[in-house]
Amino acid sequence: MKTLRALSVLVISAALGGTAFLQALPVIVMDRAMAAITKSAGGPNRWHHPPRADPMTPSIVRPSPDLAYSVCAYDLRGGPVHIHVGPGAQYWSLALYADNTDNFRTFNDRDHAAGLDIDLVAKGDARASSLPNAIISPSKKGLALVRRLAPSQADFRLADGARQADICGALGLIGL
Amino acid sequence: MRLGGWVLSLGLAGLGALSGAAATALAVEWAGRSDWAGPNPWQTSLLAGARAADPFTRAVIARSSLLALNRQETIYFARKTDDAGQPLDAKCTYLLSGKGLPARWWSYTLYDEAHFLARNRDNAPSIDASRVAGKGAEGFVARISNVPGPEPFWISSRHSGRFELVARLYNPTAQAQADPRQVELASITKLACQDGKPAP
Repeated sequence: MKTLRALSVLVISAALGGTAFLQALPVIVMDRAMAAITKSAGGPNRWHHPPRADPMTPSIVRPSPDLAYSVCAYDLRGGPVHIHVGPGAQYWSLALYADNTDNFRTFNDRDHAAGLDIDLVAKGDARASSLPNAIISPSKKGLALVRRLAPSQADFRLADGARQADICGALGLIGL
Repeated sequence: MRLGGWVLSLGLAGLGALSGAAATALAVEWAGRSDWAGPNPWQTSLLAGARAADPFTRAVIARSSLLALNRQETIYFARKTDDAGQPLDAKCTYLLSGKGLPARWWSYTLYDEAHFLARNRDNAPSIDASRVAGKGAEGFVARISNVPGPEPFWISSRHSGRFELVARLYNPTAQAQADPRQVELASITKLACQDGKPAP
């Protein structure tokens, strides 16, 4: 009887340990990424525009040397966040990631040649119905990542110029 | 139950939880590797960029393909061996032979053993569709080596150790999206190897 009880404790606790690990891993990984990006950008809801991938100062694994990246750690706890991505001469995309790693929406220049404006709204926020370009985020925090094609130094300069006009900011503060 | 029994149960519970977490971590690591599938020897992640349906899939994505794009936007392929099945090595010279890939834009990029760009100032970490356009989009040859050769394109492997090559297809065709394993990727033929240290 004692052996059976010990086995039951072991099996149940192992199942709980495994479940806890699965739930925690994506959140921990994304939390770390969002914290690092928030620090680099000087706060949440701001773009961070890293320089061209430099092999001598590696920062992320498998960076594409042919892309100009921009990343914003968004935080919807204070309300919707406006994102603007301006047009570019070549391919660009905007990918949105929830705080559990889900890539819940992606846009690119093929469907938005003139650029893109969206308002990110947390799931359950009633303001979504009054915003024509509302995109519902399944989580209150997450990442917006823009990739602009820039295979050469000249292309990178162009992309860098274009991305300076991009916006990631709390909706109530835009235009102030 | 006596105090000793409770202590024993708590100890067993702790041991069980740790074992469960460790076993799950191993399973996630294994799944992250086995998620990669042909066309051999090129491998692509079938989960990258997916909107995960369950916690296990989500954990695998967090471990192996964080912030990747979905297959409609981009397909990623990687390989670590040449056509003879030998590990790619900076001590050797290779020819990368291929043709334009079924996508709006594509690239081949070299990464070192730690998955970073090779630490050199050669400014030749990749070739892409825009460089190849007009110079052999139907069929190109690039040299992978420590120094450039007579081929029109060069990818520097200097200081990369045992390296890997990653192919990216941005806005792949519907056919490529439907079955990435059918995409015809470049071959890698070994030309020669140096005995001893990599070339300066």
